[in-house]
Amino acid sequence: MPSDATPLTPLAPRDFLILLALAGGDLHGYGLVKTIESETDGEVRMDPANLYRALRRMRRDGLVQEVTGPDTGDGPDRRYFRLTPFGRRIAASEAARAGRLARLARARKLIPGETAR
Amino acid sequence: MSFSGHSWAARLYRLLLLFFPADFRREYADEATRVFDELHVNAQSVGAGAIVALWCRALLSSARHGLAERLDRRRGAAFQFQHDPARSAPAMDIIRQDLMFALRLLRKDRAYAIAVILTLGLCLGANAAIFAVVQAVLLRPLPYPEADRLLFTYESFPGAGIERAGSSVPNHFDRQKMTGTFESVALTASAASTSAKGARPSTSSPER
Repeated sequence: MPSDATPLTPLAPRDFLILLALAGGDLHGYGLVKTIESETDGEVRMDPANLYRALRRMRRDGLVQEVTGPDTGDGPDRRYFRLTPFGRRIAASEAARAGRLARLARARKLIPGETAR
Repeated sequence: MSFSGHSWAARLYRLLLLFFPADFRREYADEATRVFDELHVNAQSVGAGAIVALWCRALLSSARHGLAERLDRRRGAAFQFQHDPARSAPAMDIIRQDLMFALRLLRKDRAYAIAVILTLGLCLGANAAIFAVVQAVLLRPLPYPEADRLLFTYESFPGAGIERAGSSVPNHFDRQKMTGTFESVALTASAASTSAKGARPSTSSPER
């Protein structure tokens, strides 16, 4: 597993959204698509194949891992994904970076409906 | 366990996944198809627009990301090749090897090659057809000077249920005299006549 966050950051926006969604708990593919759609007010609607492509890459980078989901009794077992401790650190690092940028944008009065604090 | 995906949407989506390399499909096609099937059921409950949007997104995304995935593999292989000190070849040889490699890949993965060729053919054909219509209807100017100032007027009698009707000659002259909206007004008349010569009658519709 990579020990240094630098080569993976800054994250692509969609990768960051996936990590943010998983930070709330384990999710399967459908859950991820719907969570991301809901958290971006419908702005980001991921195609399933694209989602799994990203998940496979992030699994290889050690950001997420596959886990066995609960048995819901509705057909074949689903594949759930979980944020690894390394993935959580990367997400936190990206969140801090985004926070710094947001503070700068706020200071320059670039965020509609907000004024500099 | 795998998701069999018996719905037509699931079966069609599986075809789109042919854009992706075989090992990706082996690993994730079942899950991706299952998720798509669920999204499709959702879209059906929303309406036709949502279904069309879902399919458009799926088509574009599969083509784009499937191709990107294959190119990533290719780049990875090329990187290993270029960094192998045991190998060194002039630039033209490398290009030739690249072309041969691409052809071998296409020959090996025929389903992908057919999917790409069919998609390109379909999209190019659809594009050409749409452009032909747009060109004929919207882009090509009428064969008159200042065609954008030409208007066709007609009489309408909504009370009698007649939306479009021709104009009588007196009405035309009244309009010509009493309205100043148009720079000039002309009246046209069309008539059809059938003439027979030998065993083949023909119909003509001259515009006067």
